[in-house]
Amino acid sequence: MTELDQLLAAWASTQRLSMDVAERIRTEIVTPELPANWWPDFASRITDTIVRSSRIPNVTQFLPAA
Amino acid sequence: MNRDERAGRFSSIYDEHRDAVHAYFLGRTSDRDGAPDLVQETFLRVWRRLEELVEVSADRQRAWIFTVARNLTIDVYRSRATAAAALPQVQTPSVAPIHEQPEPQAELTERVAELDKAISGLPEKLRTTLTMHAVGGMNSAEIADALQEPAGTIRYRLSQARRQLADAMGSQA
Repeated sequence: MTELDQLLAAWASTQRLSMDVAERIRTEIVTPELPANWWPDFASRITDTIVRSSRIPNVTQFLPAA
Repeated sequence: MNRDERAGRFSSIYDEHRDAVHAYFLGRTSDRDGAPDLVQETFLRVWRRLEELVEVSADRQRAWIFTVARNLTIDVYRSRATAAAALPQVQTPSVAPIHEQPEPQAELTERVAELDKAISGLPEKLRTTLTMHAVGGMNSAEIADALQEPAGTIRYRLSQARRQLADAMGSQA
């Protein structure tokens, strides 16, 4: 192995794609994207939940049975 | 294909070609920081066309992937040409600084930095071929296949690159 081969091997080792970066790229590609309308859907569901939980109960259901 | 199958098929292709594609971008652009973004952009296109790609042979997959990579490089050159008109070029050192390293290690780092500079100064075709070989671990047949060039041309470029580097480094080719 010549000095140039050794230097090239050392140089190449500083240039390779690191495992961290390679995995980050893989994750960013295969991770499912959120649908474009996720925020309005989410906000609407939160609103519905709040409305349901704060609705005034029907008084008649608390009356003693006739 | 469901999502897990797609991810599995994609990972096989990604693991097979990512180092070669990265080395290609490194050679073409000499931009260590920008090369991973181009790798991601290339494989994003692989992900989008996965159903078609899994139907073809590994050689055809490589040819398709490198066609995408070549087209992306052309886009980079175009945007660089536009940016160069507006911004001064900033050269970033691509090898770690040598402060506070033991003497032999500092000497090696210094030699590697010299080599890095010499490689940056190679003509683009020689630099790309050498980088695909040294960094991407590809042999001349694989490089020829990826670049759609005769294997003899690739072997010639590799020997020319080594000769020029040896001259620059005062070393044997």
